[in-house]
Amino acid sequence: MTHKEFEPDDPVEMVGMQIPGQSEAALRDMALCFAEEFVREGWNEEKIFAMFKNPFYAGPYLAWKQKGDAFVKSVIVEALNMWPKPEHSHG
Amino acid sequence: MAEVFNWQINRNMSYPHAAHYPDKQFAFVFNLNRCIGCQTCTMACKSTWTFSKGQEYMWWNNVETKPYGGYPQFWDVKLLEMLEKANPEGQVWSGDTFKGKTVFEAAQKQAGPEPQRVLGYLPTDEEWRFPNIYEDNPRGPKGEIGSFHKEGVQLPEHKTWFFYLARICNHCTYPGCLAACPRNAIYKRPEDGVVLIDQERCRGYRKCVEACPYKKAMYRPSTRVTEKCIACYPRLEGKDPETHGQPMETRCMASCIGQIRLQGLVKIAKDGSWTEDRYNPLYYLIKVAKVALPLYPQFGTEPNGYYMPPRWVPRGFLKQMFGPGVDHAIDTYMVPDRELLAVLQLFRKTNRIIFKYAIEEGPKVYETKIHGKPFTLYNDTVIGFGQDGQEIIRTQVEEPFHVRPDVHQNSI
Repeated sequence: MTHKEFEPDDPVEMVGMQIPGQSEAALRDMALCFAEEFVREGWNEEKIFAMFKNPFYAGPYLAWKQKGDAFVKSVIVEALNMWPKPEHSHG
Repeated sequence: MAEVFNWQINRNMSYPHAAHYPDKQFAFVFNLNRCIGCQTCTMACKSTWTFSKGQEYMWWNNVETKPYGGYPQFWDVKLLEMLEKANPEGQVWSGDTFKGKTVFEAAQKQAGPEPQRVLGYLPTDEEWRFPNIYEDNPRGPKGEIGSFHKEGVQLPEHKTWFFYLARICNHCTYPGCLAACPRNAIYKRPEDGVVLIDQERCRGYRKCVEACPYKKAMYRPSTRVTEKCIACYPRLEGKDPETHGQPMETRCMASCIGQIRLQGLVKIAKDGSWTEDRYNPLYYLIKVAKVALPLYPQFGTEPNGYYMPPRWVPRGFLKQMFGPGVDHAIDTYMVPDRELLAVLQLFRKTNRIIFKYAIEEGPKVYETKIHGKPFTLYNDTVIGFGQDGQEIIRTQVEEPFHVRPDVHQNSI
């Protein structure tokens, strides 16, 4: 295998290249998926926001890095409004 | 060339053999919104069927990362490009009808020094050899082969969306592999539509490897014949002692921890259409709710694997991959109705094949708005029945939610 920098016009070097189709709407859709997933697990706003800011969670983190606090918070609030908090049973 | 009807492209098309249909058809639905790319399915298949000498690069089940990945590498991009070259700017849909050329029709135009029955290509050894390479893994520092960034912070980021695409043989209604075989060594079983290669008749010409648009026929150099997914047919036949003669789902389905998979057998009419079977979960998901769509229907093989498209992926990409039904499928999935929500609970609740389901209505749990649309959650009970009509599974829409108490944290 070759080890060199990516070249966008090389048809055999597609890995890791950005392809057309990215938009703010798509980014929001993806961020909302993450937020909804954890809202439905019972996480609160603070905990989900912390996840978005944690580089370990690459997907959410990327959304936060590109769009910032206000965007991420609005996404989390939308998800929280959408899904009631699940009832937990302990034991 | 015979004329056959392909419902997925909503028109007649040319196929090298006359139409011939099974009584039942092996089919499956994968919910891509749920796939986490854990490869448990891949390993379940590998450890059952392809662990021997000569099968090292053979993965009947694989999970690739879209849009970057593919096994063999670039399989779909290469074929899409070949079709585009054969029919420039003609590969388009008009409503539900595909106006372009299928792999069979494009091959007729392609007559050259080496005419093909099915438009295709033979992947190189290198393309088979590196499943998943660099799909969502980082490369190491420039010029240092085999190394990686130990700090983590240097990893290249995909500043765009991705999703995992799990794939097995689609046991197509009009298989490309079967059409291309010069020995007629490939056949479709009349009882369940499973596509098999007769290992005695196969001479390893690899015409099927070239022709299968999904690249799911794989050559084995140690025996010099080609092999492919057999849909775990002993399990379908109920030969596994666990089920006492009742049909069982394949290894890859049964092992799915993401609960993305549901497999079944659907009834086929004499003319090849799906017999109405309203409460078969696959019939419901594919024909009634229309939330599950075939993979690259424009190839023309009428694949029997169906996918619930991932909701966050740009629609243009999804429409190229799953056809014109994408918007309806995602809209329906995002705000599911009462029946769909119940049927989604059947995924991976049992390893027996569910032939029929019934829903018992339960109490209302809450009302809300999802993506601006009203949504009411009812805690209905969904019941799955096996081939013999016996109940095999009973579950509820609201699953119990357990939190491990502090005293037991990390006590596994």
